[in-house]
Amino acid sequence: MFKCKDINHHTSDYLDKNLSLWKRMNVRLHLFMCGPCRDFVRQFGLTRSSLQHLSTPAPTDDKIDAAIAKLKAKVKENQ
Amino acid sequence: MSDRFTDERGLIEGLSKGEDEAYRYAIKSYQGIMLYVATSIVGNAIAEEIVQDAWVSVIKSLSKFEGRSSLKTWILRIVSNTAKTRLRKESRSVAMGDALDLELAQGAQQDQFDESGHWVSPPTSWHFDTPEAILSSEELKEAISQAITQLPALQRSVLTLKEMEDLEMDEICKILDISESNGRVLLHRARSRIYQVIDNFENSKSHV
Repeated sequence: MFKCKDINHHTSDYLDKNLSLWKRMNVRLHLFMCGPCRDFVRQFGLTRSSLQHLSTPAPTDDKIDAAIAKLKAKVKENQ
Repeated sequence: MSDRFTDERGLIEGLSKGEDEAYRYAIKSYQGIMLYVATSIVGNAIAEEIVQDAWVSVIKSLSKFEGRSSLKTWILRIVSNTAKTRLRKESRSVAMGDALDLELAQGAQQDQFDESGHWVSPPTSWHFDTPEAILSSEELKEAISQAITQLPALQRSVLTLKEMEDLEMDEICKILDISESNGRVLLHRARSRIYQVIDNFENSKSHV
């Protein structure tokens, strides 16, 4: 039988559907009985969804200009 | 910026012709994640150099791109190969393993649980109930973004590639040259760190 610590350990794999059927059933059984872990897993899921709404930081326009100049010079050098 | 480049074929055509706008679009779209991947493999010092070399390889090899993966995945594989080749040349192949060991050793489960495996103190119940609600606070959004940049390099790459760039875990692990089980541990650590940031924010607001 899983304890709260095990639920914490398996939360990502549970949300990503990477757990075996046996472990998945154990997580579900624990969540059925444990309010704090239900809160934790729900909030962990929210964290995961929030991250999916963000973008990888893009370089600033200055950095893009500098990168284009360097790249063009290197491409020319290699031709 | 031209809509033509949102379609990969348009972007490839523009890059092949050396169009400035195509270069701009590609660098804006991919440079950030390329830098994260390069940093994970070779460290901070030469990551920018690796990305630059990778861009040259990308431009030179565009005619060989067969479309069996997305352009982004193909570019990231080139970054990864460029970085690994550089490590081999400099006989620094141990560096990556060391970084992975260090990251796996760090941030192991803290003392949130008692000896019987139960919560020492139960998690705070958040008032947020949607991702939009979490990200509607500029202050929290900024704290999350900052926490991501401060993650150890491999955790940051796994998290960014999975959540923001929407790559499959097996592809991420190939790019970063790590096992899937290690990839999943790193992803969980990174998500847990961001959970803490949101939780701290929630706690600080509820005590005001």
